[in-house]
Amino acid sequence: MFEGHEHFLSFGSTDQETLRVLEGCYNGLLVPGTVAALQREGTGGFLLALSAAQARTAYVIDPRSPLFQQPLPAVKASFGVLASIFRYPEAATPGVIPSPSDFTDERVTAMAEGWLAFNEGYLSDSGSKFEKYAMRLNQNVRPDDARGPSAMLSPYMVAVSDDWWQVSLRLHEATLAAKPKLKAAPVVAVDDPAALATRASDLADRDIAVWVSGLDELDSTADSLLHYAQSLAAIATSGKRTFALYGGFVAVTLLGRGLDGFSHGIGYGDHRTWIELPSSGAPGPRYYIPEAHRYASREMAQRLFTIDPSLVVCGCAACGGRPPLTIEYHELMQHSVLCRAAEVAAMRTANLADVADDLDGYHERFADVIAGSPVNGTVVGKRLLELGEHLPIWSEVLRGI
Amino acid sequence: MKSLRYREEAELAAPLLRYLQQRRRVTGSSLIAEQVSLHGKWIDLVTLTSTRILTAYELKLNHVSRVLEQAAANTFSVDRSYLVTASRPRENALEHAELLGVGILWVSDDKISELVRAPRHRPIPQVRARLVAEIRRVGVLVNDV
Repeated sequence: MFEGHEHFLSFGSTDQETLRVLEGCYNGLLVPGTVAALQREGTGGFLLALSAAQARTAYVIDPRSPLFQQPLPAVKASFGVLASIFRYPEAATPGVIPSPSDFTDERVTAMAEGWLAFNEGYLSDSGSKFEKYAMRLNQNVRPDDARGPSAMLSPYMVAVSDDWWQVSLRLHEATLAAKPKLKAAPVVAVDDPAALATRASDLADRDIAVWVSGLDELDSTADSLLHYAQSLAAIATSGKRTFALYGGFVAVTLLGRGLDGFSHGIGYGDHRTWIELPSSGAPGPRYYIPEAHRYASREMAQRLFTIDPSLVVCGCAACGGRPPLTIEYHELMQHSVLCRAAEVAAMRTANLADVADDLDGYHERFADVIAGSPVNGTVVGKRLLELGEHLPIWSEVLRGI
Repeated sequence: MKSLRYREEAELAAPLLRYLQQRRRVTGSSLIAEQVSLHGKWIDLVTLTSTRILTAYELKLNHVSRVLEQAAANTFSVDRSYLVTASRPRENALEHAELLGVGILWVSDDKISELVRAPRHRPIPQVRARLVAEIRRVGVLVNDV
């Protein structure tokens, strides 16, 4: 089921240009259930057109059901539409504290059936704007070639307790009981990387999606990342295949070493944290520093470029090695995807010890260059050094795998 | 004379403008704009003289080091970058400002002292041009302020 799902991108409606231009540089799209539900015509038209185009881009819809596992501070329109798809409209009520006992057998069955109907009807019900998006692809794209989701993720909850994990298991069982035509995979969502393998061992499925809430690779300890890697390796040893809903460079290094595929946002979004908080929107466009394998503000990247261009420069088709502050928004986004795609390709044959050596070598050079620069010791110098603090932790993790 | 206490950054703008006019850093035909957007961030105040000198000012009551970073980032976009503050920065902050190419203006009792003179930078032409276009779009003549 997760074959050919190695490198997915998280869909956002502002990313359509990047997704069109880079068609073929990634395997598919992970679409938030909230977006798929609310923007059914626009998002649906785009996804169906892309699925019919030359690269036959796959897509999978993330149910985002943990939204209804938390008290909602406010209810966005998308929450209401998603709750209706789950046939549980009262779930989108602000201030209510959900409990596992709310998820009775009847409710679980209704949620699973509602979600199944949404997924299986997506191809036929979401194509009214197909022509509009097909034209933008500048290819001969036919509606008959459009495809539905390549797989279905069962509704799930974050296993913050045994009771919530039981709700998750029942949601998946109810999905399977509804006899989906699509292949349905369970999602093992946990808040502790060490718990991943234990929860996964409760499942008989061969393919599972995984999400460790709050696992920010840049801000994690080596122990957390090692637990994550070890959990994935243990799951793989048991004969299962895994797809991570979120991941950054560390996830890339785990491809073929316990992880079979992963998804990440464009420009940001290598991790996600449950509980869902009211957000002030996406961060401003940032520059992906290829050798640090992380984003930095354009100003910080420009500062590095000014000090020593070799620290940040990239030869991808989108940025062409230009100074970070001169790269426009969509070029920055394309640059980030091309860098990640290059990482995925390189990691297929890379030796992790060599990758760890590269990280250490870059970090040493990075620190030396900043120490010898005019900004050393200033607030800017300190911020620049912070951009490399994850590197020794990651190299330690890679050597420990 | 009782020392003036400033409650918010915007209150620094009036004494700053008077100072700039007195020192002929701007004239009546210069353009001035507050809260100018660039790269998803906001520059507190920008001036463009008739001789095409583009200057950014970041206003901060205190905690200078926090805004020094932003003022340093502005050096990629403008000819001169200043930090304007109501509390006298420590000596090491002045040294850091010099290293980063940022000028510091200290506002006290409505009077301004230039603690560090901002050097003339060579901003990135495309970025500078974008900012010039923006100030021409949203700015007003100093005479009209």
